[in-house]
Amino acid sequence: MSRSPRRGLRATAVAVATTLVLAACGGSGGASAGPVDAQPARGGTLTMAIGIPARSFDPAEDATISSAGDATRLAAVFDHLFISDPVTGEAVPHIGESIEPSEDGRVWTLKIRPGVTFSDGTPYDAEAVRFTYQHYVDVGFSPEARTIATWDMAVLDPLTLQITTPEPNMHLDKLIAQSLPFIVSPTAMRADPEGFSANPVGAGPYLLTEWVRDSHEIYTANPDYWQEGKPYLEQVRIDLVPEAGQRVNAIASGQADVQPPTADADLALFAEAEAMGLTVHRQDQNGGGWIYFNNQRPPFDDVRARRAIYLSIDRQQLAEIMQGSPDARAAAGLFEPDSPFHEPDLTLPAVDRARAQELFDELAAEGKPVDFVFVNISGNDVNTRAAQFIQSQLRDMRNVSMRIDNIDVTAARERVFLRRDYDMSPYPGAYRYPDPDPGLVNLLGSTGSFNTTGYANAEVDAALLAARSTTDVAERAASYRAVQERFLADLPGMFTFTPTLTTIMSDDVTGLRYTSRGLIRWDEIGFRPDA
Amino acid sequence: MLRQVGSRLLRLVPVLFLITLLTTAMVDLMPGSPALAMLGDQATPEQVARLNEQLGLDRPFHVRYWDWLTAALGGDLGTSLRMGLPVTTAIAQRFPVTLEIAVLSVVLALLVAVPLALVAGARADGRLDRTATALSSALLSLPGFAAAVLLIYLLAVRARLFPVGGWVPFTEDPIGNLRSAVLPALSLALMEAAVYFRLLRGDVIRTLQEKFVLSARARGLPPGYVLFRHVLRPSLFSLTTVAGLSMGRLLGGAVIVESLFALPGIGFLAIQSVPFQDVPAIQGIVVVVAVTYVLVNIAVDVGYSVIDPRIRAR
Repeated sequence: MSRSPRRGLRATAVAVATTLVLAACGGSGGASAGPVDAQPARGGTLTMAIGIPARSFDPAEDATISSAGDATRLAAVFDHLFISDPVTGEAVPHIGESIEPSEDGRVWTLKIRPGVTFSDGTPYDAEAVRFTYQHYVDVGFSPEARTIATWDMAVLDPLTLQITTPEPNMHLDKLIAQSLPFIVSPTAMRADPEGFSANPVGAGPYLLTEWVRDSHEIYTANPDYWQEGKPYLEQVRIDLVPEAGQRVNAIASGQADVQPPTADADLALFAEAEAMGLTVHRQDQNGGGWIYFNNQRPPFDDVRARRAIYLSIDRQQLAEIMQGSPDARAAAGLFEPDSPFHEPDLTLPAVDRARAQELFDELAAEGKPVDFVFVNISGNDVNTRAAQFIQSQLRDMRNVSMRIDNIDVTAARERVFLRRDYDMSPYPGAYRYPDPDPGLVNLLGSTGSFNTTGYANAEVDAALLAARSTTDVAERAASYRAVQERFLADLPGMFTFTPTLTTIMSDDVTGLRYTSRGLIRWDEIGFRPDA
Repeated sequence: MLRQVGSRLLRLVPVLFLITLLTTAMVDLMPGSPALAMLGDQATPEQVARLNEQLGLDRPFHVRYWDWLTAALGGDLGTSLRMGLPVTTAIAQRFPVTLEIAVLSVVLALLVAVPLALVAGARADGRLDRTATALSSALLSLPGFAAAVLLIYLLAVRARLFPVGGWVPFTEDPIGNLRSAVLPALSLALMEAAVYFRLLRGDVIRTLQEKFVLSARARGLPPGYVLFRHVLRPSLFSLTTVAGLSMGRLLGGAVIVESLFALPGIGFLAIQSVPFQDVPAIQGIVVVVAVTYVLVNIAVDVGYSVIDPRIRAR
């Protein structure tokens, strides 16, 4: 298992101080986050405690790219084509050497670093990238498959892929870095398409050498890894520990070393981990806990009803109750202050219950009382607390009533995401977007893959498109300002708490870096030399 | 006895048919689908329909059930939708984990409860009896998961004597296997021991009032000898029934404890399969649990005849 744990106060202080310094330097880019104050020593077995069992090692079958699930494992086996910076969302070269758009943003040229091979010895080249992306389309699981299906891909030479998109998009690189980082060996996939999901072949720093389903996996360092001198660890073991508290216990007892960075909303758990002397690293991101209003049916097809709900609720209190901690922060707007698109004057409505009551009365007088169903995902404490708090805030108001329907996550997916049979419902987690493209586009664009509210506004679509067709920050900021103004006028959904990517780890671990999705850079992580 | 066992096994057939049919129907009636569990929040109706077709879930309920039933009669319980593995393989991998935990829990509970109940029953209302009865009341009111959390904190996080969770197979490391099994087994054994203690204590007190016990004492036999040779055996009926039932229940998977300790057993497989609506896996688990229950009950019946040979003669 892992190295013997030494949790001296000094080491903790060093780690925390470094974290604070790095956090203060946030936004400097370089795809880094977390305590990286020491170069890792060579060797050792790092054990990660993870909450969701591995299902498949075929990247095309991972529809969610969640750091709490398969994607963290895929990152070990496949590495990243480009790194999606956790702070800026920029695509940082890695195995992909460059990715450049044409002047009109329709044609992208992607160049692969020479000399990279998969663990079966075959070349990691432009054809492999094309093959993998086509495989996404054939499998049809991922939301990105729908986007790729519209592309025209051409291999110009062994290391150059050209992608032509139907619409101009100056930010396609961000989508590729964030959502399409894993490239498979076409030879291995063709040889055993059925067995690939259990016997993956990639070009990552580690090879999957043991997989006991619903228990653990063992990964061994790839001797032919393309980065000289890396990875640092001899082995990685990923243990399935479904209970969040047990993951903290496992790290505190020395049985595990780290849990993957997640946007877990339960801050109380992180406080508990800190109290146990563990290192807790946080990275704020744009976005927030997100509650959908169904904009396509009464009562929330009327903006006054949506506004009245906003005005009825003290969102700071809501954030504290959802996250179980006074340290929680309500989302103030669509962007965090360190974002180039942050507009200090454009903030979400503050609580004003008198005005909310006026709106409820006005709607009732027109025969549109705000009686609605909050479809809650049972088993998710954060969302349940949100539902109960909102209900309690509305209880003493007139002409509004809220019923809570608790259903499990799969049933919620069908009812909310597919049938749109809901009035108000929480997204099960936090919706995060380091760069607004593609995150905000998917959330608010009328054809966005995450637009479950049914919100459709031509002005917003035009502004999102305008922002997408330029790389000039000032021009993008102007477009996103228009989006924010429209958002505040229409309030299609409710942002609750400020999202934070959080990692819990032992202070023996160093070199923690991850992508915007919280996917660990397995080539960087290791143990401190003094551990 | 053989006829009795045969008739029990025959009755298992309609039981299995009914429970698998009802389980499949219940899962079928649940909103959502395995396709949605795989595709996530951004799935389109077209993607869901396509995957349902690939998984054969677009066929009518009775066709799917009939196909499963005919294959199951040939020993093929289907392929898990979540894992892509044959269900028999998945269950065969997990059953030894659940079996070991169940056996260890029941053995631990019996090792504590039987001697304690004999001594406490022999000195009813004595200091030991009052203490043990109070302790058993406390343990009965403590849910299994609460005991588990407490044990984890004290023995794993603080004392670091045992791992917080996870499983080491016996074939890989026998000592590691025992270390990983102790806390889950102990968490389950605490409540079982309390139940066994109370049952056996009551039966011991009743048996001690029987004339044959008085006669044994009158013959000047030592109290310990009387307790073990004359009192224990006739007092074991209720305990055998309850221990058999709890063994059957634990073999069905101690869902919360397996989940808390991340033990790859039957209970954990069930808890992962239900939200995913993995019908073949759920059906397989139901079949195995039902068969296990019936077999354990048959074993209990055989146990009765060992305890009291008069039953064999009837």
